[in-house]
Amino acid sequence: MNIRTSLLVAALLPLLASAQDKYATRNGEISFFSHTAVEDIDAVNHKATSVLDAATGAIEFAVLIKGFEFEKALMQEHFNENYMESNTYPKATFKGKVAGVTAEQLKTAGTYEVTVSGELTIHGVAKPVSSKGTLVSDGKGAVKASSDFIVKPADHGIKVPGGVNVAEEIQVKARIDYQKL
Amino acid sequence: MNKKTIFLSIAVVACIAAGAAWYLAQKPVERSLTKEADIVVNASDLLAAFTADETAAMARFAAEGTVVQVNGTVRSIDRSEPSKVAVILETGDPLAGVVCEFEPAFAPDWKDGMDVKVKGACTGFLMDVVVNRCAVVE
Repeated sequence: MNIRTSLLVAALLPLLASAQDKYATRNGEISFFSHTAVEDIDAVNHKATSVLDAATGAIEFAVLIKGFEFEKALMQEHFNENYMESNTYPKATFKGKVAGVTAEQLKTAGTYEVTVSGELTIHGVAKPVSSKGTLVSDGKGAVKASSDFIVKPADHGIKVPGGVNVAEEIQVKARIDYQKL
Repeated sequence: MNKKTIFLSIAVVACIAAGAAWYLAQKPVERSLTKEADIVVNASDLLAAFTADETAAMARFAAEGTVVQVNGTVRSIDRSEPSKVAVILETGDPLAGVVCEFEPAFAPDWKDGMDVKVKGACTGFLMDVVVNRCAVVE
């Protein structure tokens, strides 16, 4: 067990007594994609932090907005300065619950279809969300989580000037490899 | 200067401006920063700044275009991710470090316990202070 990830969980879920069913990572991958007629917009962040408490279903993750990497420098600059205002709102967070799998199930190898519901906060605006996801356990303490969902910038107060080439819906993919604490 | 010359001059300037705009729009993100550091700080002080006042630390260290040089001792190196190499610098706080992300092509061959200098773009603070697009400072 990695002591640093143990301390990560202790900081994120301080009220929970037992670490037996907790999984965590500080290297989760969050990416998003938007297709428009002019050009595709896509970026990836490799440093999402997340904790999953399989006993209660509680799940949390946090990601730094400035950590999203684009191909083009100007696109990254506009994303941070004009749309996400990342100096003011440096993080996106999610707090919620995973339903459809038990702690005991995750201790055995298998693939589990789940529903993740909770509150997604982007640009300082929180919105309830729910999406399908998949948890793949190797039965030895590693759990791969994946979920694809849609985010609407307008739902989080992200203003896109008229005529600017940004889609109304952004496709987001979360790929998180947890390790048991 | 006759009208034809004026027209051609305007056309040339317009073409140059369009070319410059296209170049800027297409310019890729620099994966390992080459610019000289704007700020030099040691790892423990960088963490302390974020712990004390995250908003002020973001404004100081994570402003757009700012290159931060972080000096410190290597706590550990994580090569488990194929797309990134993460060098974690010691801060004196077992709960948090300074994570310096390198593209594999630019990752140094360091060992735990080495005193090092890294420059990059600070992106903020989760459980650690994160610095991306890192380069070794010789």
